[in-house]
Amino acid sequence: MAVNDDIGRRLRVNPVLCKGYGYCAEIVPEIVSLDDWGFPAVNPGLIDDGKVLHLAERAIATCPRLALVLEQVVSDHD
Amino acid sequence: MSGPGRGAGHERLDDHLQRLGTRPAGGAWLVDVLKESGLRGRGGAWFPTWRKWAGVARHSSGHSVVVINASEGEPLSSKDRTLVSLRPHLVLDGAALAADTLGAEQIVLYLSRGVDSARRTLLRALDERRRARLAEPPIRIVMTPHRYIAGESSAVVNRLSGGRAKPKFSLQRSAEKGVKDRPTLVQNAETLAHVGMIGRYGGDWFRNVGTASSPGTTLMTLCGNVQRPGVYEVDLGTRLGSVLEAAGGTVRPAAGALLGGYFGTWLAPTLLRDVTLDVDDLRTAHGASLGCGVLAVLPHGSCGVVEATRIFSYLAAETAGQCGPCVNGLAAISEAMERIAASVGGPADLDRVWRWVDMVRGRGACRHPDGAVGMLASALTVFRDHLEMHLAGQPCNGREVAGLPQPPGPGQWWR
Amino acid sequence: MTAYLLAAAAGAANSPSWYWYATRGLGTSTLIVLTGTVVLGIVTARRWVGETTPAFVAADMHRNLSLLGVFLLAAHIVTTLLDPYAHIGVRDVAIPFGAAYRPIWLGLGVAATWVLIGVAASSALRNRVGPRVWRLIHWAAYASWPLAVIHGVGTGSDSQAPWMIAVVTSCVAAVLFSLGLRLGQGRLATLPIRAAAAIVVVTFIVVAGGWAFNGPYKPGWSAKAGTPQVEAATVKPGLVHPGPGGFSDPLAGVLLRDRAGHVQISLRDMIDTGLTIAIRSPSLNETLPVVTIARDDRIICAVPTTAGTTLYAVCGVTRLTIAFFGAFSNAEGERQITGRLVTSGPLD
Repeated sequence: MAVNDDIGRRLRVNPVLCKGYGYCAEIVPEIVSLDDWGFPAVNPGLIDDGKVLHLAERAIATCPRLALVLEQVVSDHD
Repeated sequence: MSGPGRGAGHERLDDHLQRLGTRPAGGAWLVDVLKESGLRGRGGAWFPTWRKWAGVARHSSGHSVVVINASEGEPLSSKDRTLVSLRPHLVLDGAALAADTLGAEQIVLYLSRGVDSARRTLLRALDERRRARLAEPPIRIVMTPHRYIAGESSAVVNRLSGGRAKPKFSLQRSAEKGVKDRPTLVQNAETLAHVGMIGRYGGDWFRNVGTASSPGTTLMTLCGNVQRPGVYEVDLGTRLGSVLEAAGGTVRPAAGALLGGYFGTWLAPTLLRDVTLDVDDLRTAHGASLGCGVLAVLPHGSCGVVEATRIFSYLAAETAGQCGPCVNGLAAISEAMERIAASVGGPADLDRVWRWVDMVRGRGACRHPDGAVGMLASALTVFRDHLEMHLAGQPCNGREVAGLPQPPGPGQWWR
Repeated sequence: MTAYLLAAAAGAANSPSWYWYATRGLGTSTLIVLTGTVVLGIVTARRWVGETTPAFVAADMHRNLSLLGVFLLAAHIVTTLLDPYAHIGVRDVAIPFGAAYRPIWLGLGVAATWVLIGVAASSALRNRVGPRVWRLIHWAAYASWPLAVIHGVGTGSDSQAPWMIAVVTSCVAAVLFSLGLRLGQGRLATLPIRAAAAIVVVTFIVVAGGWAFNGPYKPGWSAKAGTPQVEAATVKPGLVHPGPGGFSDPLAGVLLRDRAGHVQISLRDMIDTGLTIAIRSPSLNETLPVVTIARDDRIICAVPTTAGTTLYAVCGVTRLTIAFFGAFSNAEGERQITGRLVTSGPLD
């Protein structure tokens, strides 16, 4: 495998597990907003703010469906 | 790929070997040859095949899995079932070459129910290969329900891992962790047929026809308003007009066409002659894709808005039912579009539709919502003028005219 | 004073220690906190749109409260182990239904604890076990609460106290109420589910209430539940009942049942501690059990007795009644038993 180029982390939601509780949008509204049906739309960008990262981790722990995860983004090598 | 005609049944192994010769043993060299050939996946995504193989090879250690995706959940398409019924050995050769190259110890033929004749043919073909003691891993057939989404990569992997044929969300691609957590290659049957040829004749041979970005031939299913609907092998880079001519032209004047299947793009009637079947060209000039190779032509008098709504409602009913934004979004859009198609909807309904189209893109575990809203967005753009009529409440005859073949009723099973 | 020291020397606690009271208090607190956790868990499962309070607060409180509950439960278990009064050891706390003290009711508490350990472990390791396994185990947590309630009512020495009844009733009411709220909303609010839930709730109340008011809330439960009646020897050994009248003394001892089903009971009078009573099953040419009364190992009489849970015998001119408490199993082995000896006159 190519060199591990870790360029950052971002919050991802597993839409299959998510049932629309909406806690994540309350805890970290900086990167999560709710759509017309109460489901989260997560900003796909990398998290660069330490405070937002901490809130994201809190949201991950609070989700009753364990639907949130922090993804380690690596740059794609062939 | 041409050979004996339809009436002869499937091409027997002996005839296949006599016509094309035995296949070479696959290996890392084949990835380079595929790169030279420029072959792209024929399942709908047109992703460079060599890159897909390289992704699996990177994670493989002798236990990977090769899956021949012949489920063909697209109702308008019949190229894959035709191909596996007439030229099974070419497809299976391609799979065996992939198995050699990727270090796979099993090959799975993923077939959907309701195409029983194909299954019988394939069983006979597999029998022939077994008796001939060909050097390849065991090939088994796994049946799946005939659902639109059953052919989606992660749904294939899910089904083969013992679950239902529903997509799965994962941060890792199936190339890395697929069937039973092994590196898996899910490849369309037609693509593997091309591999079967390229493996024998090389990348340069494949580039003899087609364009620089879209080399080779492709199978297209022509249906709707054409004299001779069916599956045609077409040189890429051809003008759409030539393809229509090969099918005998249209029965009635064309009112437009849907290119690429239910996740495809609508083309205005004026484009039907000169659009070239080139991947890059289609994308940059028309925002379109060849998709799974379906060209469905609308007859004069039918209504693009009505047809698109019908297809969209089918896609909304055929979600896996797993993801909130997709289930809710497609249902909401479908309801609004039904009103618009019946000429009882207004500009407010259309605004909501556009809002929701943006809202559902990328929010599912798979690309089902993206494909559905992409098709609808193209219809709303191409048939803009006619759409205004609907919004103004003017009645439209489109529902009475038989346009494209009716989408099938909703499926029931997931295994 | 001498008697007290003798009693202490005899190894039996003659009055409950601080640990005993502590464990009862901690047990009650654990029940209350566990009830709160369950209520919040039920309420969190609904999509609650609060006006001023964000909904995630309920989820957070549920997690924090459950953590507190775990600590209280641990303290409750530790104080139980440290307490000498009821002789509950590590084995009894780990394996249900084997204790000498109110075995069934204590066992339910042990079972509830194991369920909660599973829930806590799966939550701590949630990243490893994955969402589906975690959710399955968490559903099992629903079972821990009724186990805890019944354990509390069955084992609790305070069960009959009015304030305790009030606590238990409030806890049960709170859970039933929140369940009702949950089932009344959302996709579960279908008629069949509501009807089924109503039937289950009514049945539970009738059965539990019936059991409670005929069992733990009636006098005599303590003995019925299997509380060993270890009353201290407060008097010196020797003849205790010299007078012409009869007496009524508590008995304690063991029951041995062998594979063939033959029973041998050995009891000691807890007041007149020199008096021992042995009862054995009839041998081959006998039809009735035989009771042997001895004082300081000198046999006073050995006579046949009627069979049953209360034995009647005549020793000389004295009529005896020996009653046994607790449920008898038919399993082979030895178990502690208690009883009462009532006589119509002296035994010597």
